[in-house]
Amino acid sequence: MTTRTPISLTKSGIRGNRRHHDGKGVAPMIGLLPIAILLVIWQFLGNPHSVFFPLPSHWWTAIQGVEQQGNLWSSILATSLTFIESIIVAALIGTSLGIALGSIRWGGKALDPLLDFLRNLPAAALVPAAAIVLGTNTKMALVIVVLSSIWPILLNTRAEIQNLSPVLSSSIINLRLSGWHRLSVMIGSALPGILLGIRVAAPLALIVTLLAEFITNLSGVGALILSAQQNFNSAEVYALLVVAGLLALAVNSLVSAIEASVLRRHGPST
Amino acid sequence: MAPHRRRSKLIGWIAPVTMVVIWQLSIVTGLIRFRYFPTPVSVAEALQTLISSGALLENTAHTVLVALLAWVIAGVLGICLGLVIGLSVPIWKGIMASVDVLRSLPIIALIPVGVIIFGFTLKLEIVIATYAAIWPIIVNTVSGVHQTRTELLDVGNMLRMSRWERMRKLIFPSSLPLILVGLRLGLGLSLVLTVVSEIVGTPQGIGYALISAEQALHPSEMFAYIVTVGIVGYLLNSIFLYSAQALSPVERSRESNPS
Repeated sequence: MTTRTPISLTKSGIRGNRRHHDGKGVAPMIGLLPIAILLVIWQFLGNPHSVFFPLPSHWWTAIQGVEQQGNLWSSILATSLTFIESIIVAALIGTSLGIALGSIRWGGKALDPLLDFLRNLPAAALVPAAAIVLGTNTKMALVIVVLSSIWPILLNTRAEIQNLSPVLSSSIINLRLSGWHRLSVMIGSALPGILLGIRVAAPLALIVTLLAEFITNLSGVGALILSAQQNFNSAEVYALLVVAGLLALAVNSLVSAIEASVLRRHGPST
Repeated sequence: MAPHRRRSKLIGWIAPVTMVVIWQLSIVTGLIRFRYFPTPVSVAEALQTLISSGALLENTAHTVLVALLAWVIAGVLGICLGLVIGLSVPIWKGIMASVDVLRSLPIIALIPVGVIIFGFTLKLEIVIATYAAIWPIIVNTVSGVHQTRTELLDVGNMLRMSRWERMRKLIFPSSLPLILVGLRLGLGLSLVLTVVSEIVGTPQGIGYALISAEQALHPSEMFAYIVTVGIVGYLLNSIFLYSAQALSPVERSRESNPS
């Protein structure tokens, strides 16, 4: 590197690693071509009477049928509501617990085994348990989605607090910050971890929401998929798969947008 | 060092034991009241019955074998595909967006497609678990290859290494930490999706036993299976971490990959 290069304070700048390829770049849209080509081939060369692989044009007719029955939009709304409520609750509880557990010095050793166990408990296994204990209702879905998506947020917040820079933690002590001030400094410095946790948790939360609807037949997109499958309406199954995919896409871009705007406002250097 | 280590191990038991005791007490004293919420003691009893009848071992063996098989398939395919996509820029440009779309499809919505194609068979379980596990492995392999330092590649050029040598001696070892993260995420997903496809359909394994216990209104038996799944997941993860540490000293602890 020449001396004229200004020292940038981004993470890679500090380490000064030149990378073979900047892997963070967004994949170019042209990469969608394989899927598009596949769908076109499927449409024109596929067997129009196939039970397993119905033509893409039939998916469209199938989804219009669902829409005419009046279930489509209300199901999407139900799924989205459960998802949004859960992710907000998970973010609030996860952040507070993460800060609390991260501030306890002996907390690491005492809680790691328990947290590790709970985090590795498959959410899927908990759905039937929640259904039998709490009954099949939206509260059950909320509990189960929060329980399974809280871990990335909690653990990332805790790691961020535990790795608080020594300067920051000694300033907290020296300035005798307490209460709200101390908390806001901590939240501010843990923000990247919290946001990373939410980004990891969001797709998980959507999957568990769909799973809960799918297993317990609670109204939502998951239940629509279940009934389509039970009726062997394969075109409808594929169409609803696309709907679920679009939901996931919306969730991902929403979360990335929120993350970008929060990080822009609070500066990238924390 | 030894007594200190023993103490820290003991500390790790305090939290779980406290939790179980609170769970037991709050039900016995009537603090929480749910019709089908078993006490830890009855769960332990159910666990014992299931162990002595052999049902637990049989179901667990089925689930673990399927999950491991799917994970191995996903690992081999995923690392190969990841290396190909990561090494060639034109291929990366031409296919990566499709990979991103496919991996963000909610896997739960894919299970019914699998059911329509394969029916409630063993094949369904393996295909679904493989499909779920392969994406983090591909994506992490690709970013591992992309994060190879240019200095390292310069060394390869200087030593006139062949393509294959560069890949085997430079690129693969330097991407190994990220590949291992992908494999670990994949292992977890493979187990979860095996259990899910058993819950949803395939009439074998822990997932099926779990949902049958629910439908038969045997909550303590169901919780016994949940505890089993938790222990299996925990053990698989620990075994993997332990062997990964032997393979490569760096294991990133952060969960950096959504999916």
